[in-house]
Amino acid sequence: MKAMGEKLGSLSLTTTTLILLLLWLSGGILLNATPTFFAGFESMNRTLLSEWLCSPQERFFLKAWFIGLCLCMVLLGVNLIFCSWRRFFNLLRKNFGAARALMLLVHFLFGFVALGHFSGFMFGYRYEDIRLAQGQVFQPAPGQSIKVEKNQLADATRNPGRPGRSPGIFDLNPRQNFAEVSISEGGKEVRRQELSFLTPLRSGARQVTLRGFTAGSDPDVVLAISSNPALQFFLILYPLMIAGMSIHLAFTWKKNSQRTNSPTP
Amino acid sequence: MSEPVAIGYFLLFLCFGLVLCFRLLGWTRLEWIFARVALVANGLLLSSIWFSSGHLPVFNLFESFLLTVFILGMSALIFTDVSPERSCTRTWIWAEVVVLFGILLFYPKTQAPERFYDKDLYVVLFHVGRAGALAVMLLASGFYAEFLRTFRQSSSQDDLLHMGRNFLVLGTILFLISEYAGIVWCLNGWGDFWRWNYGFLSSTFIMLYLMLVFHLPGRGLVSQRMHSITGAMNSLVFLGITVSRSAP
Repeated sequence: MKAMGEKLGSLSLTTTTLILLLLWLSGGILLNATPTFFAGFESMNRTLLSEWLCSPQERFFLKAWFIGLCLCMVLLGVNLIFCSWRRFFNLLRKNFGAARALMLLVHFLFGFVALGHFSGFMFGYRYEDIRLAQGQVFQPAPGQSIKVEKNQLADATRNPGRPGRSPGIFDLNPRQNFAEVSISEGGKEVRRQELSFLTPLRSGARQVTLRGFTAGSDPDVVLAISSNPALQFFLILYPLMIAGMSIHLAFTWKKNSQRTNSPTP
Repeated sequence: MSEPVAIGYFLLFLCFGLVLCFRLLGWTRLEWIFARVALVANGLLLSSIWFSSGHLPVFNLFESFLLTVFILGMSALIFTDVSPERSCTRTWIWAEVVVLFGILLFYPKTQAPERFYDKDLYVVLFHVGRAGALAVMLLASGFYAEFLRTFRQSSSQDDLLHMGRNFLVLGTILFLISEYAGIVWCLNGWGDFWRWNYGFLSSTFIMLYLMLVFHLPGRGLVSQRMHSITGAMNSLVFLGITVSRSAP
């Protein structure tokens, strides 16, 4: 049992898993570049992966690739747990040092960041490409509603050379092209805000993002509506991990008798 | 092609090429003068692009490589020693600068067009972080390459390996800052912090590669050598992905 634990927590397993992950990811990059699978990746962007995996329309090969990626990450997670467990006790018993403790903390944080990332794929909800005219309402969850109160598109006529095409959100002045949106819960308005590109509306874990406007004389607003319960957790832990690495680097910048070529504790 | 900017680029290419030549010839005095002249000119070109375009010079490959060269060149002067030998860490760094300028031969030498979002904090931080990370990783590669060259010559080369490690970790931190800014940018613009596309998959590839470099097992000479080879190659991986994301 102890030998098994040593193997599962070994740096050799870390290296092997990372090489496997790199190869797997390279496969994904190649798949993404092929027209056959590109549409599949696009549909992964449009919905939660827990729903995407259950969809019968999606290609089996792409699902197998994604599940393989998850399995590699699980193996890395198991390796992280066993490795951290052993190093944690080493740290307590014999080799306590601030730099080592800090690097162990960075590894814990990395584990939680990866978990936060994964839960973003699986929990909450995500609706992309929601097209609403002024006054229209969308219900992402029971008792919740999102209403477009005002649709302001001043630059709609600025694309005369591209008739029938939606105005690109990147080319529109956000001060002149925006939508006013409100969120209600149980019939009571809880938040109202003007949305423009890069200025979303957030209320708790929910987010309403302006993605563009449809073409035509009376354009609709195109919204992405999402809820990610792990988002705040992820956004706080990520910079903490970076800060931990920075402090560790400051501690170990000067060479000492201890081996510091590796940032692992 | 914007003519004054393009002329500035070719002059800089010539200057840095001469710096590398002087380094290889062992003419350290001329190298000293030309390196400073080239870096001042590089700074002036970056400033002129900044003032004329109204945004930081990081929004296309031409601008970001100019910034990368500036950071890399300044770091080389600050963190590497002047050596009487023809081949030293600085030689590798000047060679990397020339390679960056060589890549730019295939790209338009123009400033990026003005966009409404190019003053957004996270968009700027993403691009600046990337340019900084590439520069610092190229600096690390210089130390690793010199370590590999002098591997069997002296036992005191551990300092090179340690400096390589320091700058690779610093480059990783800058890369992670840039990734974090990119995550917030994506969240604000697209409603989610992850997209299944080439940009995100390739960024994850770089991060996993960095993790691989830092987790290579072993403590002996073979391990040191493996660490320095993978560490030196990291900037090539990053550079290759950066170039592939900016097709001319």
